[in-house]
Amino acid sequence: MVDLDNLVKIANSGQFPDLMNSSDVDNIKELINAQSLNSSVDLGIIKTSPTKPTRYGIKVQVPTGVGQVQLYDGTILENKIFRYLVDNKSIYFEEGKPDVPVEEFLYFDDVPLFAPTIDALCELATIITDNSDTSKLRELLNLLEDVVPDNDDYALTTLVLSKSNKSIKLGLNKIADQTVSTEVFKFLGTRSNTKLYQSIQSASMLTENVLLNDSNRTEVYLEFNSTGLVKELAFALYPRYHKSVNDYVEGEDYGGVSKEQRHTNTISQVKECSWMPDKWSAEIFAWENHHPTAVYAVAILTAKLEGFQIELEYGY
Amino acid sequence: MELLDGILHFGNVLSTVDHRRLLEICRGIDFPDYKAGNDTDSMYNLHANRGEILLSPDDKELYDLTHKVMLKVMPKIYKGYSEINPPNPPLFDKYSGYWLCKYPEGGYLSYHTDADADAGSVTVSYTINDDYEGGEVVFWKKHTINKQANSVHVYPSNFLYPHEVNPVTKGERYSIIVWFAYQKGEQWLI
Repeated sequence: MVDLDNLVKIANSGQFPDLMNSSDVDNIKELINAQSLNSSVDLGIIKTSPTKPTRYGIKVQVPTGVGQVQLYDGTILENKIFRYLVDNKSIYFEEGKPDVPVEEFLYFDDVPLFAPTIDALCELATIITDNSDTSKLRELLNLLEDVVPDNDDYALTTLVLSKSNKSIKLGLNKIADQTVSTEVFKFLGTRSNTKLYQSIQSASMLTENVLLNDSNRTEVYLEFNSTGLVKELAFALYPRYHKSVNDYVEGEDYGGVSKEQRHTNTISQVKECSWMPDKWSAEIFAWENHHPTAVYAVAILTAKLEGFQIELEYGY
Repeated sequence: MELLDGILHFGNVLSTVDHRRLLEICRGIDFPDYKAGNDTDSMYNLHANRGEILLSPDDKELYDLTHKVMLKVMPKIYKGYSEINPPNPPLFDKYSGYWLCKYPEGGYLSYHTDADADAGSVTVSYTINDDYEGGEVVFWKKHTINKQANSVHVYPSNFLYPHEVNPVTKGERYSIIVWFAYQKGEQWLI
């Protein structure tokens, strides 16, 4: 929930020079006015390092089980995959552009990857990007689907659609208890000795501890746009458990570790990651503690040819 | 390959929240009257004592939860049978509909095969609860399969897989049965 008076106080306190400063408050005010929002809206903020424009997002309800979704501009997209949407989505706006969203985040209830769901995703990718050659995307999804024989390896949980950038990002929940296959690095990096391969491999190694920890939920993100499959791979690190859920994990409460503690453990782990910018490490724990509804959402490490990009999503 | 290898088992299919909700809905349903021998098929000499309901998409929440079960296990079914299937098998895009079954105390299903479903099909049985006694599913009069709530068993619907459900001696057993096929049945959509 957005409490503007409180945001002003927080910004003035100087407690969060990077996560909530006076520019953030101004941008949020601008968004609230442009979108005629009331204070009950859930707010998300995404900061990027190296610095890019900050994005501010709002959560809205969507119907479920109907095989279609309506975008912010009124476009109705039809696709089988939308049957499995959960009941809300997030619409993100860039700072200074509060009238037209830059991305819409759609969330799904773990849709497994297999032939018909891969077909549906490729169809959707063409509609969003106007690029009908989805062969590389299909090949990569098939590769991910088959990493561990006889097992579910990845399931679709997030789609990030950007009509303005003609781009679709696929967030795949990593179910298999293993690191991402080097076959995937080779596919994206062309072969095993390229700079991109090494960048992705480094990102995988740097996130390995988080990937394999049961308190965390990890996703890999792929991007496809009007030029084709983007040669990068992102690792998104979520807490598996929500903040302020003080019960125990069924069958796993032998250590007396509550879900809330597990949530906190995830943030501790992400905070300690060497790739996390110091400015965020210093603020993210305090962020969660300054308000009952303040949460860390996800940290995303993207391995690109030119190096790493880190995004931090948090909010109320 | 041994016949036993043709029976696949997948546990923890739904999330805890979804599974609890599905069980809650099932327990609130009024099943049609049933009595011993009401579900008979003379060709297969099948007799049973159970209530069954064909779920309609209009039963939205229950149907959607059931569909979620099947969506989650379908890729595993393909992988589970990948050694004996062609490399790119056609999709099981036909189905029998989802049949919700309730076995009351004394409920049972006699020894039979699912061979009438379709020669090219598999049977999927979702075990909803396990807080009952008796009611075991037994293949070939000797192999009892794991009775685990929120888990799925899959087996070929042919004459090589005869099975039965022992009488429930205490409590109520809920399960969902569906046959998937290549040619025969209603259209199954992801």
